[in-house]
Amino acid sequence: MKTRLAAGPRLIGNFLVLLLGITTLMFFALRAAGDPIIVLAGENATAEMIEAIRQQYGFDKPLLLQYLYYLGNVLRLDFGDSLASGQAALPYVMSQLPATVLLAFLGMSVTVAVSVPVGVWLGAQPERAGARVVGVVVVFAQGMPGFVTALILIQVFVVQLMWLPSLGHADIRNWILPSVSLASFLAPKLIRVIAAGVSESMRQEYIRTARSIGLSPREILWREAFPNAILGTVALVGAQFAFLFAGAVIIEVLFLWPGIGLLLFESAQSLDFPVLQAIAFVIAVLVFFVNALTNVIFRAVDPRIGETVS
Amino acid sequence: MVEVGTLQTKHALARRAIVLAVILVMYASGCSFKSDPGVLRVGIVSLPPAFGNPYAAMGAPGSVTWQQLFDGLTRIDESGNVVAALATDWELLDERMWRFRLRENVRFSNGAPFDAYVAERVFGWLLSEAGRLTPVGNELRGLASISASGRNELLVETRLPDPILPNRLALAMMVEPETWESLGPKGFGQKPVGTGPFVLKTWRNRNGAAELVENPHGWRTPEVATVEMYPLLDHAARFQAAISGQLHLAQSMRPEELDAFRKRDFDVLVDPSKQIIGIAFDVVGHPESPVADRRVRQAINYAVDTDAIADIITYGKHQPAGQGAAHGVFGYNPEVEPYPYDPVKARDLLAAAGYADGFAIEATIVMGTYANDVEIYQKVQQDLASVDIDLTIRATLFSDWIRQYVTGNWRTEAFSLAWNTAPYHDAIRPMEYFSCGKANPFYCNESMMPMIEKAVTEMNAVERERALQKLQLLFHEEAPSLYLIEYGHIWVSSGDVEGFTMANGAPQLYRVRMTSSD
Repeated sequence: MKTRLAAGPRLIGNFLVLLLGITTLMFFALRAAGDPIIVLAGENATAEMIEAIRQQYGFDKPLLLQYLYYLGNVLRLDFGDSLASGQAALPYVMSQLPATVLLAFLGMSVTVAVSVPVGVWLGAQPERAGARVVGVVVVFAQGMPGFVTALILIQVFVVQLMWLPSLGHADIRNWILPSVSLASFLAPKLIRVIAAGVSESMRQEYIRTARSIGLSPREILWREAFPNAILGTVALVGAQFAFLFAGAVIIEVLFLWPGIGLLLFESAQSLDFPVLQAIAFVIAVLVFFVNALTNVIFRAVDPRIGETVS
Repeated sequence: MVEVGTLQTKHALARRAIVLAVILVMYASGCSFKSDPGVLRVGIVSLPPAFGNPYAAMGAPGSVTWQQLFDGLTRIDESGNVVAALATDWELLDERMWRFRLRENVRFSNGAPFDAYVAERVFGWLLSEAGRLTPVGNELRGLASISASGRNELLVETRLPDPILPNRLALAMMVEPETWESLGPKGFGQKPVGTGPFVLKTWRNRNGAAELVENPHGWRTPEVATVEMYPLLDHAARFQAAISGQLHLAQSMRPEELDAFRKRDFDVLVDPSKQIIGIAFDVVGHPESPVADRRVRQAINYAVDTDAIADIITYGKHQPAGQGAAHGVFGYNPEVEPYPYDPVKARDLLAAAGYADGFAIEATIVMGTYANDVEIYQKVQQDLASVDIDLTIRATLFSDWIRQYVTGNWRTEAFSLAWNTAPYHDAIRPMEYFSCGKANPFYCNESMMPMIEKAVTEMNAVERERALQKLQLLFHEEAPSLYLIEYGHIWVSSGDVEGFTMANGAPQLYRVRMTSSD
């Protein structure tokens, strides 16, 4: 119990170190990437004009001083205003967050809905010819980047069949292709993890015992073998979920999904420092909390994990 | 028996779920995704980075949207001529003083009136210390004063004679001054108020598009009440959205895609961008480089087959170029032909310059600026290799490119740079950049400066055109750039819209009619 209580401050400490690291890295990396003032001033800018804009945005001060100002503002959750639009950066990013969270949930839902039955089926009897063929398809699918699948899906269902739209997230029909595209990339890994877990379980002594006491194959598979594969599944789902907050950029761009990924892509074009820094901050917070939540689920699924830590 | 029954129930549930899924898919397939009748959907490369602040940048991508929301005193029409907009006519009172008569009964989208006093106030901000820091304010730095001499009359005084002042004023979009002053440039960008045919409803609706609706106080009535502008930076996404019928109009398509569009009843419009794609040479910063020698620069022009680029890579949609202006631009010289493809002559010139065995050069290139530009630069590389010039392309981002352009600190002796005569449709602007007059110049030929200065201020149109044409010939011979092609943006419009035209790089959306409701 004591150890669990001690874990709280340690967790908060880790969180703060992570945020300090991310904000510092973003600050210096972005300044090394280019000069947004020249982009703002335009190609005909005179030296005087550039200097005046630099002063206006505080870019004329020494880098260390800029960094200290920046850290002070970050403590107040103030990332400044977007250089392009003038909107306050953090609220601007937060306004895009619901769309990204929705996409992440949709993508994960499809991934889990597909991966669990396929993974369990593959793991149950991996030697079957059908399972071998599906296994090869899964390996092939794992090597296919998500955006390639997305382009193929758009070509088939939007351009050729004209069944589904590919722009925005106005209604449920807009959700199908982006979530399937994400799942096409995430599901193969999860299928393989589940299949490996189930296959491993099926070779254990307790499965032989279950058979001997007359449990049906279905019961053996779902009640005995699959639960033992859940731990690996939860770990991967957690990691994939965290990835989705940051990694769905191309999918958001292709489908004009108005989330953080699309904003990241647009802001990178114009070197919009405040927005990019705010995005990195928000993603870091989300990833941290998803990882923390994954740990909580770990302990709920297998209490031995908490004991091991103790 | 109980187990079998449970299993049967499960199977029945599964069957129902499958049937429901099939119904849902059939419902989805039965519904066209053109679900908003009367809404004109336009696919563009991007929205203005500064949203509705029309002074934050010049030209595309901002102008594509801003021209729907705002008007200038003048505008450049479909043929490149300067014509009336908020000003109905203008005259030159003396060498530096102009009088503009303004359109009457014009109102901003919030109902506030527009007149000469309002225009004076708007120009007052543009010429202020804050206004001059904007790209548009910087472009108007040659204005000495602007004052209203009546409700509908504006006097404009320039510091030096400015023959292209009416063209220049097309850049200065009129914003509603009360809103501008109360919200500031950033706040105004979110809630722009102009006199254009449309007014902004939202920058991003649930479809991810900027939504514009008819300006209730507009002086022109648009044919459609609502426009959705979809920013699709990714070319594949834009192409697929257009060809699937989700868009009525789409910007920057590639020549090889046009057959597919025609098969689906799309019309194709090539909008001359008035830009010459080229690769400029940093002669000032790399005086030791072979490109500092005029014969080498000419040889490079002879060595590249611009006819093949135009015919094969751009499918004949664009023309080869040999000067710093496109057909139809004021100052274009019809007697200056593009360099013919002549590798033998190129080799002779290289030998005469002392480079018979060739040499290696590097070029900083921003890829993806133009459709097919990757293929164009690869062709240049291939052609130069055939005369033993080893061109290494250093691809970079625009933010890095512009830093080098503004500071003049080029890492390589060549770089991508278009001869851009937009937005004035006048040849002088790019000539000034290819001269000693540019801050931190990359090419400086002192002997050409008096002619350039004369062309900047010459008020006699005939004399001025002659001077510009003479300069075109000189620039052709001096070859400060590899001239490639006259570029144009390819737009497509679906079969269910009519009246689509382009002017000065922006679609005239208020004229577009929808012939059938979706």
